[in-house]
Amino acid sequence: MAVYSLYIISKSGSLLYQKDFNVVNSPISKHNTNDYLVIASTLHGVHAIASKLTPKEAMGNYERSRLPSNSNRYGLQCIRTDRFNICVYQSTTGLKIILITSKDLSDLSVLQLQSKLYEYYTDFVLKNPFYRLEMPIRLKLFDDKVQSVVTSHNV
Amino acid sequence: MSTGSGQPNNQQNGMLPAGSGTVGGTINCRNDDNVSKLLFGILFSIRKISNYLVDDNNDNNAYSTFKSNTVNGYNKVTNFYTLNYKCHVFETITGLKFVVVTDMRCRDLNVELTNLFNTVYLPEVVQNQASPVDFKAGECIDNEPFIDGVDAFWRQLVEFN
Repeated sequence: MAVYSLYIISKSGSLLYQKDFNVVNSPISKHNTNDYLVIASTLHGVHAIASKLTPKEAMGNYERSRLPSNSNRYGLQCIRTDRFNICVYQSTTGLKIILITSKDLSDLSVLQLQSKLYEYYTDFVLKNPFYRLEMPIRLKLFDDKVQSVVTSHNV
Repeated sequence: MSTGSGQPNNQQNGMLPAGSGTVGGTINCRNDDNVSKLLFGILFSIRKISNYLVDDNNDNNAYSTFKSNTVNGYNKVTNFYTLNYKCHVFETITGLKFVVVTDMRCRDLNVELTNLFNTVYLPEVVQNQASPVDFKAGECIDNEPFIDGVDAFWRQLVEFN
């Protein structure tokens, strides 16, 4: 049960926040800032393409989803690979919170963590008078909150 | 259905909506559709990301340009899904992709796709003297035994009934 990294992407696709967590045996390797930008914008594009790919017959399937209602109805929800999962959460305003997690984390617990992170985003980023929208997040308080909520998950 | 490595719309074999109970469907009718190009694009991107994230790019020596681990599918994409559909992916070492689009609640079909490759694609296309193995852009697999084999293969699965 581990969360390897976190990406927060704005509605226009720019990377606002990125953090790799220190986890033993993490499959994620270190990259430079430029690589993170590439990964974030690729994920932003892939999320949009996935909604375009929806077959006509499957358009209303989200209504039957057992997950608590979220605003990511048509876009990409999760990519499963052999070594980790990439899970996407989208807020009503189009902000994306992407977590790279280990394979044993359930959809529900990932969603709970993502909504918690979104709550922190609204509380400690949006309510900060010195933060300008669409700019990279460099706020100590938010950083600490994210670190603590994820570490409590990574046991 | 399978998509070749080079061209996005190389070989596709009909959208068989597993789990919906529809018998029949269409074959090779969406090869030039934009959907198949988008599908290829999304598969290409997520495969690149998933290999890139695990890739150790700290070694800057000349030998690191060729990575044997990406050739062998070091970190394979198994599936991706939205709340509406689920897409199962199986990719061979040569880059041939087998993709099936199903309902969200379908179990993982990667094993079935591997079986499809082993029991249908190999004997009917690769080992079939009369069938080409390499396809030009716009060409697709249209040999009857393969199409029937794929049909029979999906029908025997529980998801299809």
